[in-house]
Amino acid sequence: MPDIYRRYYAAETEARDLSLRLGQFIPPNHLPAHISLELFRSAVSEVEKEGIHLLSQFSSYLYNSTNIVIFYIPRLSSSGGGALMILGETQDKVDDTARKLNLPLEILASN
Amino acid sequence: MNRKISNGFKREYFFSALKPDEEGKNYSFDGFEIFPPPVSRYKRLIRITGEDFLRAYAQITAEGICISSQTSPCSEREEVDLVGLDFLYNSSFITMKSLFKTKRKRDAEDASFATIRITAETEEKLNSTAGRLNLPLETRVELPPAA
Repeated sequence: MPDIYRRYYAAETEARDLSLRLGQFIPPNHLPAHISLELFRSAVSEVEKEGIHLLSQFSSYLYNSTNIVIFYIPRLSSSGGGALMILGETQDKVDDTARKLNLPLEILASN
Repeated sequence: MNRKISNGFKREYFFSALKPDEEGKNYSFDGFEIFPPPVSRYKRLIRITGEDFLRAYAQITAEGICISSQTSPCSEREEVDLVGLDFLYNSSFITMKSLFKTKRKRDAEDASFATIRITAETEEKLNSTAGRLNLPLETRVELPPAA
């Protein structure tokens, strides 16, 4: 089976704490890159507006030929914080989606 | 230039695989009956044969990117499990669901019935993915009239 390519972003919260909460989705030694709350909200807004909501999953979208999963952490939901994961068939597709959402590329997911 | 399917339009194909009974006469399993799909969402609801499903299943699992998998016990008493698999394939999102009547069996051909849902951002991509999987765009198997 082909490899899966991903990028993770987390707003506002402690990355390590978040990675524990998302443990079932994130491979070991991968932590989300930190982004600002403003950037996170902007990306979520774009995905919700332009992406296709996938019926079987609560906050999963098809956007720019990639799958985007948005996580809202209950403790942070009142502030609009959470995390966003981009999954794609190639690294180029994942990076292209990150660019479209104005998300940083220079911070590697494994940081 | 691909035509973007806006949010208000149907942008998914939903296939249900039918398997004949042991006598090869009646199609006793139909995913659309077990899980009635919201028709307004889909561009097409298509009934396919078990062979269509198995061929597409093999291709998707070999070439696609598995995003997630879930197993939900439907009934402990009857030992029925619903297995769901989500894939990225050909820039489309594919969800496959299979219902197994016994927990001992997990091979696709042992499923009582199965469904494949393809979601894409453009109609061209939708057709491209169905085409690559050799899935028909018209219902191939008609259900017998209700008794």
